[in-house]
Amino acid sequence: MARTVPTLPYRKPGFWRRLRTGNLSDGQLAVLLLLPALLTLAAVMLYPMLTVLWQSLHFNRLNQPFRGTPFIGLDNFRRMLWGDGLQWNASHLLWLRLVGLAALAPLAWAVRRRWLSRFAGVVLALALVLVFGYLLGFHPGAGGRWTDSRFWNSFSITMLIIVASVAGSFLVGLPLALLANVESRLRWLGRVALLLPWAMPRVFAGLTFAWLFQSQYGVINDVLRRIGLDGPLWLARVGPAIAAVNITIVWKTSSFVGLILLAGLQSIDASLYEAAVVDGANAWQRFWRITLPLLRPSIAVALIFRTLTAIQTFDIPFAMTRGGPGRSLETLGVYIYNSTLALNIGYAAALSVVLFLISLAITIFYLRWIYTE
Amino acid sequence: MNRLTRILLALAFAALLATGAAQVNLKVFIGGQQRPDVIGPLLDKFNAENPDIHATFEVGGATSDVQQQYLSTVLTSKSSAIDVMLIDVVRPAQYAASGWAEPLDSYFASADAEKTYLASFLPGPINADTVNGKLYAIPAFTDAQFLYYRKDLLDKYGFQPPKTWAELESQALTIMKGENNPNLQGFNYQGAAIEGTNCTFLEALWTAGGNWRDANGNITVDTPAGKQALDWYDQTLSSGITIPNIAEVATDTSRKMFQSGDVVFMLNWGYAWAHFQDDADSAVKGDVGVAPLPAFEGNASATCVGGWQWAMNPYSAHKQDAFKLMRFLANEDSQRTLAVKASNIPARKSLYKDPAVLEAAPQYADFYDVIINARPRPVTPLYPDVSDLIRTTMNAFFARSMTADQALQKMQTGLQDILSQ
Repeated sequence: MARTVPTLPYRKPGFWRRLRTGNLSDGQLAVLLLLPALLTLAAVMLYPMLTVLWQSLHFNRLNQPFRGTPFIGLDNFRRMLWGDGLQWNASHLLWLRLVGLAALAPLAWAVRRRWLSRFAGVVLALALVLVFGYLLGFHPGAGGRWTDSRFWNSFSITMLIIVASVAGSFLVGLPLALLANVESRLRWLGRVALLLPWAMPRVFAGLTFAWLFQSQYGVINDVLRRIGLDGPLWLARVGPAIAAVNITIVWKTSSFVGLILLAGLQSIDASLYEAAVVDGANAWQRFWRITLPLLRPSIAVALIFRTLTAIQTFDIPFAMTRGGPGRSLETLGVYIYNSTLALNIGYAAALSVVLFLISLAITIFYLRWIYTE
Repeated sequence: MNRLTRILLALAFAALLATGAAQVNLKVFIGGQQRPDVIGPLLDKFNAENPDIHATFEVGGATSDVQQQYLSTVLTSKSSAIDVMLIDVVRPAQYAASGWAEPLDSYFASADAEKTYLASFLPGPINADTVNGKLYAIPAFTDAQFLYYRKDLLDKYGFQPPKTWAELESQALTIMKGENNPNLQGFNYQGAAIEGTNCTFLEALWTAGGNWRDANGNITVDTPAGKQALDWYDQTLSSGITIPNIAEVATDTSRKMFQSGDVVFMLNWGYAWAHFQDDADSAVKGDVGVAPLPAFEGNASATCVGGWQWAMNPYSAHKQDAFKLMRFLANEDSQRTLAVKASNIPARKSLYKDPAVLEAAPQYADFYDVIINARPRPVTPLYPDVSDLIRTTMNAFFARSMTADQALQKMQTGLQDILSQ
């Protein structure tokens, strides 16, 4: 009879023992060291985000407690995007199909034949859907009903501010950066001028410019009057108010763009310019062929940060006109603020979720663009 | 800190605890604009008269909206930290529906006692504080929009204060032409997206014989009366008696423009009067008159009721004592003090003939005829939504981004949407 030898099973030392003796695996140690930061992040970021997500599925108006806080699924989102007044009649859908067939099919074909890059194809398709959808009345907020159009109004003004103010801040920021990069004794002046608007809190900038744009006793109209022009009623008319807010945003943000581009400019090797001069390139050619291509990474960084802050535009339009005249400058940020202060917590949460999704989409879009090209 | 101070502090603390134990502590909430410097001494007086109660006050927020945000948080969490609160005249309906104000009827000795007590107040504020037949607040002081006019200019051209809007327009045009001052405005009111702009709209609607809702609860904004109201504001802009940037003008902007002598007629609240008479930079001292709002031909004058109310937190731990305090704060002496020291327009009828009040504020004799006709803004628990819709639409109308018809249609459908929720 064979004797069974009792084998002691191998006991791995306990977690705390390994911790004390320094025998944790790399993975365990990493988790352990990251844990405090992760827990903090979870408490201050993840928990509020999940709360907002949960709130967005509820009806919750703090000033109407008599209606309770029932779970309503996606109703806040339905209300936001389509409202109660939209007629989904056949003509809308017919037009949508026609536009889709008429414009999107040739686009897809062009991309397939490689006449267009895939990127350009996607952008053009999106633009077509937006423009034609709007023109043909396929506008989910149409119909003049209050609850519907408010979201689409704030969506479009936000998009307008993104396009106008980001483009504007590059048009102003790049020359500023070039100016501050010129070898000259006075360039410190340019650099201070670059820093000052950037250092100013946005609300202050908004309030200051609201005074400058005041149509009766504002400085801007006073200057215009002195040179014999009749300035517009800046903040009391829709068009001028949108222009005024965009000008203010450009003033405030082009210095940020300028600073980032200046850093990029300084990293460009001077010998490249020297070589170009030897080869007989003029200043314009040097700018197009050397400066701009080598600035690309800086431009990308500035573009991402500017776009992301432009999506969340709140301070300047709020400080200048409180989102008015009417609701013409009620950006998504202002709309969320107004809904929260109207104590409509569920709806404001739903709006925040949508803003988050838009930011996420744009970030992913940019990141892919940077990594592929 | 030396030893002696420590002992003294400890003793003081012990004394505080000892007295605190025997006393009922009451907390009153008021807003920053409501003169804590006048309310404080009133509470001291109450505490002296009632040794077993100790009332203190808490100040929060400078505007009605900000105060409401704070009170919403307190009341939603069913906190008993506040016992008595001062609320805006537009709030009682919402408070009643939300269970945020204690119904006060049962605190009176009898229904007759309540009736007698309330009869001494002006009818406007009492109507605003009564929701579905129950009393939810007691008026602290009242307010209304008045037609302010330049007495000196009207006298110069031999005019009486206008009774109709058409008369106001022709007087304003004559005076503007005669004065030949490019900065002179004929008629100023509020067009910014603020609470007061609701009154700008409602007053024109009422004086055209209309109302925002009929007796059956149907919304009646997009009606001939509504059209007449907005056409009138269109007219003020096209005839030039009103500045084109009226969409930028908020309550205090109006007051400042009038105060610098640039305005003939203005719609504004009662607070403006004291500024015109007392401010060092006032260019219109002694030249200001007050009249009821003009109306459209064949209709009666009307104006918006304003003012503030004492309400009781239903979660208060000391309701009987809180009620005692509310009655004290709303009594004749307290309202007289508020009228004389804080320019708060009394909500009690008798004070309009009170020599002490009239000596400090002789204009109240003129105010009475206006205030007695003041009507409440829409009484509904959904008022915040109603207000937001009307003021932003009117602001868009004044900014010329909406025609009168579009604005009326938008308010009509918007109000229907809100109230059908």
